[in-house]
Amino acid sequence: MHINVVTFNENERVAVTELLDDLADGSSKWRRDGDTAIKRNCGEDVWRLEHVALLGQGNVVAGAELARQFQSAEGTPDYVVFYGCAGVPDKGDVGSAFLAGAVNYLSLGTVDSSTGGEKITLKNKWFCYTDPYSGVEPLPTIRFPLVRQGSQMLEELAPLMPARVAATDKVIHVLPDDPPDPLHKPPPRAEYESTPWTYAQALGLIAEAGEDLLVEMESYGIARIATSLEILDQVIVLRVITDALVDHGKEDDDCDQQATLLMEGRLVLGHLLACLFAPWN
Amino acid sequence: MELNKLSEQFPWDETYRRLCGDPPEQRDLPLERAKALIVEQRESQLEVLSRGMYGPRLMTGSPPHGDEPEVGQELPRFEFNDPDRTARRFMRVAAQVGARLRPWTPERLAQLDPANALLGRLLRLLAVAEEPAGSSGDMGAEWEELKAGSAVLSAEGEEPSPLGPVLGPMFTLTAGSDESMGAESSHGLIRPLVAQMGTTDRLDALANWARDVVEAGARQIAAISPRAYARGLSIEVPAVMFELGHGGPAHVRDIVLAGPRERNVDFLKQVRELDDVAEEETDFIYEPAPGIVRVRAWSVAPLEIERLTDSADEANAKVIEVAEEKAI
Repeated sequence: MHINVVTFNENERVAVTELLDDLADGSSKWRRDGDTAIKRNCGEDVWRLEHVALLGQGNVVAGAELARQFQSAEGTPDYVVFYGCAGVPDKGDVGSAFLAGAVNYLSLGTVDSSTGGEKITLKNKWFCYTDPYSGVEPLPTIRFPLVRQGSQMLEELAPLMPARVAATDKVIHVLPDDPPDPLHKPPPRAEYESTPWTYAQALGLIAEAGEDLLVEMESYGIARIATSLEILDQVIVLRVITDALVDHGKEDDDCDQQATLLMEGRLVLGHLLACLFAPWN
Repeated sequence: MELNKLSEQFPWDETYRRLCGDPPEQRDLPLERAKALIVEQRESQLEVLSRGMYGPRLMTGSPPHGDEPEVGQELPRFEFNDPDRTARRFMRVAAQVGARLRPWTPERLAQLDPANALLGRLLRLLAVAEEPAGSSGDMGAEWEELKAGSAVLSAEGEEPSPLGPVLGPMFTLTAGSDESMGAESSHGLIRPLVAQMGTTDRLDALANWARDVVEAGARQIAAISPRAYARGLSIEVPAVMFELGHGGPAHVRDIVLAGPRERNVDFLKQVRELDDVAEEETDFIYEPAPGIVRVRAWSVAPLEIERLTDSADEANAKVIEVAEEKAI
């Protein structure tokens, strides 16, 4: 069983490095396998755990890394676990952890000149149906099947819960707002006027799914590439909530808090890895 | 959930013990856990297969109308993916569950009820067949036992198939080795697939696609079975190697085996020891391309196999076909 853990920033890198050090502490059966991996024999199987620290962010970077791992001539991993931080609308959720259960992409839009700067809006045809029909399908919600409702994996990981992810390509500092009323209500489906939407409105639409809402910048790229490579069943995204979308503290304080929470979250990551490596409990 | 509460739920000592300790003895491995994984795999087969019905392509033209979708949800579009590719993905997901069942030996899994024991052992075999050789035990015997077990349950009229609505027809077809059974084997798959899709649109196309997927899956399982034999150090080997070792096509120069490199290298080493191919007559070039093993033997007439496939059987068949052509 080979599992790769991928991280995006320095705080995440430090936390996962610590986890590997915890496991290969000299007294366990794990031994070093290069600078970023550990391995051990377990019965007839060989377990290998590798940490890939991207030190880079975004849907493209994450998706490209996943594709790279599954193109390797040296063998492909059985599972890839992405470990990183995320933002939430409610400040009270900071310090929590979630799995990415389903993900939507909020990024495609327009940048216009505006008084005193630039104005960014989203083209709603990419995440909802419009009337008249735009001629293209909205980008689909992608669900991560390993942690679908009712799955054994989710049962093992309970009370860790899956959340709905809005994947963006920008850091979002706005809260969800009510989306416009649809021109046509379901059934068969909601259809909206084709107009530019704000991020707040788009987040509001995603939040209507009723699940916990996370905002981060990688899961759609991961899910989309995994779908195309047909490896979606081999991918898990674990997120530690380190930021509220608004009401930030000082930047240094936020960074320290992020580091602390990610370090604490490595224990949850360890449990997730135990469920994958050692499913007998 | 808050991290501090999760840390209480997932104590580090327990995590460390699972990750760093010895695996439990077979008698201590909980069968309930294995059973839960097996039952989940059986119950999710249709869902996994139906995902293969949507390609990543975007639909053009008018949108379909159906039940209320959630935000951005893909609607049933009946854009059937290639059956071979769909079957390959299905088998990979099945083997992934099999890898999780790896700690349980076939003997331990056999202590489950017959239906779950059969499926659990097949899933495990699928996983083992994909692993580098060396630790698999007698997989050929395991294969025979699975075939016999499946025949027994079929004779007892087990419905639906204990191997599940998708893997069941595939395995039945493999065990029967008769491709004309494809339509018959896949017949039972149509109704649950329609129920899974929630539509009765394009039933004919769905039936044809299901049959093609079952046949593709059966071929892939069949390709795994001789690997299982070989991994048990049986003399039964993939076709082209059998031909090589026993005076087969003398004009073959280059033979390409598709599949994971490690497995092929290991396999070829075994053949070299077992068969009477002279050392100087056989040259192993291990990496003409990632995942590919090339064997050079009996170089009388040049033969290049350009087309690489994911199926060892298909590659072997191609080699023999071209070799015979050259011989003529």
